[in-house]
Formats: sequence, C-alpha cells, structure tokens
Amino acid sequence: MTPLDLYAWAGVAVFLLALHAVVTRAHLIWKVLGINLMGTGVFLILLAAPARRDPLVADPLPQGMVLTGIVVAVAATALALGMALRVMSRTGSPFLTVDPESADPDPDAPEPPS
Amino acid sequence: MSGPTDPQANNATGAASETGTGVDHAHVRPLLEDDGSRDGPAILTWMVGLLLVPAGVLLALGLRGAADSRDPRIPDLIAEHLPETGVSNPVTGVLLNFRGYDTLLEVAVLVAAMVAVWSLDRGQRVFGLPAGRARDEPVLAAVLRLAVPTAFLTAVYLTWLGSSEPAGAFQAGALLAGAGVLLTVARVMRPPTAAALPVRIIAAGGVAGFVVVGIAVLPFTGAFLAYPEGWAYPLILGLEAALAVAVAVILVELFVDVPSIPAPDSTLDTVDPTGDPLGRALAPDATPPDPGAP
Repeated sequence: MTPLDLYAWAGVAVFLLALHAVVTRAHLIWKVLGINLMGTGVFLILLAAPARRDPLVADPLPQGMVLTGIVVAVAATALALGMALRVMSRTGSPFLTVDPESADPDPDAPEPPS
Repeated sequence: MSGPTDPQANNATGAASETGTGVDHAHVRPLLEDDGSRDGPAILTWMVGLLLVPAGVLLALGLRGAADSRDPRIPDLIAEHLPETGVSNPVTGVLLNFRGYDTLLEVAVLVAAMVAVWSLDRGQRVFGLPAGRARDEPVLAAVLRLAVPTAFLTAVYLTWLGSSEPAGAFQAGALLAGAGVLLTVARVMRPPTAAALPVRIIAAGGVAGFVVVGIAVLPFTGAFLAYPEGWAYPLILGLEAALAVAVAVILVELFVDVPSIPAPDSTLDTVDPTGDPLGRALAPDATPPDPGAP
C-alpha cells in the first residue's frame, strides 16, 4: 500500500459517500453538494491511479483532464444550485416532493386583480 | 423586516437597514435548514450504504485494471513533443495544444452554464445584496483597496506564467472572479447581468477566440487548432488572456446573477433587463402564465 494507493482508495470512498448522500438525502442542497463531491472523488482517483505505476514521472495528461473537469464541475454545480434556488422560489420548499401543507403559494403566479 | 435575524446578517446589512432597501435573508434561511425529517426511513439509508460496499469493491478492482492497462508511453510522448507546443509547462501544453479541443469545449460548457442559469427564471433578478457601499465602511474599503489590485496583478502574472509553470488562464480567471465577486458584494460594482451586451461579448469571447484561431490556422497546417510552427507561443498566450477574462466574467455571473428568492415584502430593485433586444419580451410583466399554476 503506497501513499498513492491510499489517495485512490480515498477517492473511491469520497465518491461512494457522496453518492450515498445524493441517494438518501432529500434536501436539494445536500444533493448538489453530493454531486459536487462525487466529482472530487473522481478527480482524486484520476490523479492518483495513473501515477501508481511510476510515481516519479508526473503525467500531465490526467492533470489536464482534472483541470478541465474542475471547471466543468463548477459550471454544473452553479447550474444545479440555480435550479435548486428556482425550485425554492417557485414552491417555497427545498425538497422536490412538496408537502402541500407547508408550501407557500407560488410567488410567480399572477396576482388576482384587486 | 420582521422575523429572527442573526447578528452576522445584521452586520452585513448594517448600512442597508438605514436606507430600508436591504435584505437580511431571514425568509431564505428556513429553506436552507434541514433536520433530516424529509429523508427516507433509516432502514433505507442503511440498505443503500450496504449496497454501496460491493459497488466500491467492484469500482476499485475495475480501476486497478484500468490503471494497469494504460498506455505507459503517454508521459514520455508528451515530454518528447513538448518543444513543439510552444510552451514549457506540460499541463499547459496538453490543455492548449495537444488537447485544445477539450479546453475549447470546456469554455463552451461554461458559457452554456451561464446561459442556462440566466434562463432559469428568464432573467428576472432581485438581488439580495446590501444597499450600502464599501465607502460607508472603512475596513471594507481598505481591504478592497489592498485585495482587488493585488488579485488583478496576480491574475495577469498567472496568465503569463502558465506557459512555463503550473498556472494559467483558469487559475487567473478564478482569481479575477474572486475580485469581481468581492466588488459586487461590496456594492462597488453593479451586479453584472447576462442581459448586458458587454457581458455576453466578453463571456463568449473565450470560445469565439478559440474557434477563430482554430479556423485561422487551417490554411497553414491543414488541421483545426494545429498551430503553425513558431506561432504556438503567441497564439496560446493570446488565447489564455481571452480565456482568463471570459472565465472571470462567467464565474462572477454564475455567482451573482442567480435566481433569487424574493421576500414576501420585498422592496428591492429588480434589475431592468432593457438594453437587451429580448428584454421587453422577457420583462416581468410579460411573464407568460405558468401552465402548472392553478
């Protein structure tokens, strides 16, 4: 077990823990954070796994891919958070299945003429 | 505004409360709290966890196989051909030369995300920012005077450094975006909106520059994004500069120009989407009736 193995295993663990949160947590912010963390786990694996073979030679290809991936993950997280905010502003609830009793009226609904 | 507020929110909107146009976000906070009561039953949580253990073992075994079957010549190939890329940092060489397509599409993804976030509520924005300005708060103003020029200089340096050391357009763009967010939150800078034409031009400039360069080199090298000999360094540096600015604008957009949750008694300014050819059709009073609404 080299330190690089440890990084790869940690990446797998982070990915799975985040996947667990995405599946089991109902709150939308938890889900968005989970998806973001799943990506982080993948990045950890991408950096550690190729370096296992020859830790002395840094491979620029996975590094470039992870750099690209980080930016795409930022974009995806921003979009997911925007969508979560939109759900909250439309339904008054941070959950996808709205509890009818606690839901606020739709703020975008046209106001009745007074 | 009624309702509980914590000291931090009061502090952040200290100047705003005097003018009466600030928000304390008290109506948003309950939406961000989670006591777990809406999650599934505990047995389900445990079952999913148990399912993920064999999945993790399979994943690790598959990864081991994938890592061992990798072509071991790739690092050597990159090192061998690095002088042809025009830069001496191998990661920059990979990102902007060998795999320029990746970076082109990456910036396209950023622009797409900005457009998508902006489209979520058709550009209606109520900014929940304090109404006070940095000059009303001496500490904030002093920090801005130090931090923003430093960030700007460092970003220029990082863009230039990217050709030889670990740095580059995205690092510089992130730093510039940090300065931009700071200026926006401090109300020195008006919150940028994707409805504004300059914002759109700069944000699309990264992708557009890439495509223009990619096509312009076609007659000389016969391949998209294959730089002619001797031109790689200036082209990459120019692209990096355009990318840094585009990334910065898009990141500030993604941070600031997001759907808002208006307070029931909101007195905030709604950003006027005029100045945009689509603005009139997308203005709040022209909102089409929602089919899901009763």
